Amino acid sequence: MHDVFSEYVKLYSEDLSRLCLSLCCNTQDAEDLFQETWLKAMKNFKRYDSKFPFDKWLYSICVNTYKNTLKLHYNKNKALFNSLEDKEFFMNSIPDNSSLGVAEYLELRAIIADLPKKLRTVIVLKSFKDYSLKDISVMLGIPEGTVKSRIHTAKSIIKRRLGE
Amino acid sequence: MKSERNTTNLNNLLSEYMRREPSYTFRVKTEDKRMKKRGFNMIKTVAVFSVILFVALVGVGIYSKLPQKNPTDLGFMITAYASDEMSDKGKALGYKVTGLNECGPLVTIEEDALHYDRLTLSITGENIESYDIEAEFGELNFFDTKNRITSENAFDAEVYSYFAKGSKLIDLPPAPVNNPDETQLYWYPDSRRIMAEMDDDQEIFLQQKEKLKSADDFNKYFSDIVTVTVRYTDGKTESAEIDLTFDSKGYVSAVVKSNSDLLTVY
Repeated sequence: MHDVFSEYVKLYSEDLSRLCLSLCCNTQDAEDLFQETWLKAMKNFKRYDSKFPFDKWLYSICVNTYKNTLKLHYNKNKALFNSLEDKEFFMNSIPDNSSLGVAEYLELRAIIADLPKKLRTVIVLKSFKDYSLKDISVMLGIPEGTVKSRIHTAKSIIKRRLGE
Repeated sequence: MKSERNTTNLNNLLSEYMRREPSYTFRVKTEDKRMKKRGFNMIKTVAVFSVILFVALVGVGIYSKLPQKNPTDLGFMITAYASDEMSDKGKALGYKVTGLNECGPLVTIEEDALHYDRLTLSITGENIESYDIEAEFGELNFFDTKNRITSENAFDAEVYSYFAKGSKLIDLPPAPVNNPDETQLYWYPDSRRIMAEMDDDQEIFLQQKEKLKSADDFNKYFSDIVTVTVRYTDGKTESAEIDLTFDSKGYVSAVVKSNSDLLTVY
């Protein structure tokens, strides 16, 4: 079982890192969330049934940990990059013909980081893997109508702020 | 940025944004490093928890002096009886609607969006082979938790039970008389009717508040008719309609009509 779990860690760490960064909007809290998620996954791994997609199981642990954390300082530290060199490297890696240039990326990031936690969670899940409303409602344990409503609200806020 | 973006563009932008998030791939830390950090975090967590516990204890002390409601499960119960019992018009048989007085509001306007709560339904009775249930607007979720793996994780529990969802569910087993919690059936209010009238360029929260001022408003968007058709082991069937209506605060009430003329609503 240890080998199987290790394989999952290798396969899913990159995407899980991406999800944690999108939720927390800073590297320090994202890494904490990343560690907590794998710790819980490891503790509950014997209950996991391989008939069901591992990614949804893992990411649901992640978002519910994020949702339920008692820590109060998520998002107060806004440093997305660990160093200036990392930031420059990343910004230079965006091709000129990308539909999302550097300025647009930073603007969108600021808007998403300012969304209320509940709205940010659903919009990140929807954009992250294009999960269905049903998947998101099961992952978060909330009604599908609420998921739909929150996604709609989040998109309205983003559109309005992009247009300002 | 001053340019307008339509919904398709926004979806594409968000997808592109998620692909662009710098994918630092964190590494799972070894146990000793994690334990050191968890030790420090534990101190902070205990401190926060102590404050919360103190506030909660004070709150309980105040709350316990207030008059208490009797706890009741949310939802109402439809109990169908065997057809020979149904034929006796002298008995108070038929369909029971209970517990709704104790339900909280099913639709509430939160600061970010509408929140929908669910109504628990229960179809129980003797000599029932199966039943169909259909909602005109809302959504029905059915769980058969017989094989549910015990778990504190709600996601696990919902994934690992037999789970059916939709506006019409057919051939469902009735809840066993001796263990009615073995199956669970929920009704969710419809969200499509109100969302169809939202203007994306205006503040959603304000629009929702404007549109949901009276009972008529709530019923325009959320009222529903749920039809249950029960099949008995002797081959007979019986249908009931449940009219679900709302008041101006989002509380729901139900009126049950059946085709047997034997109707008692409690």
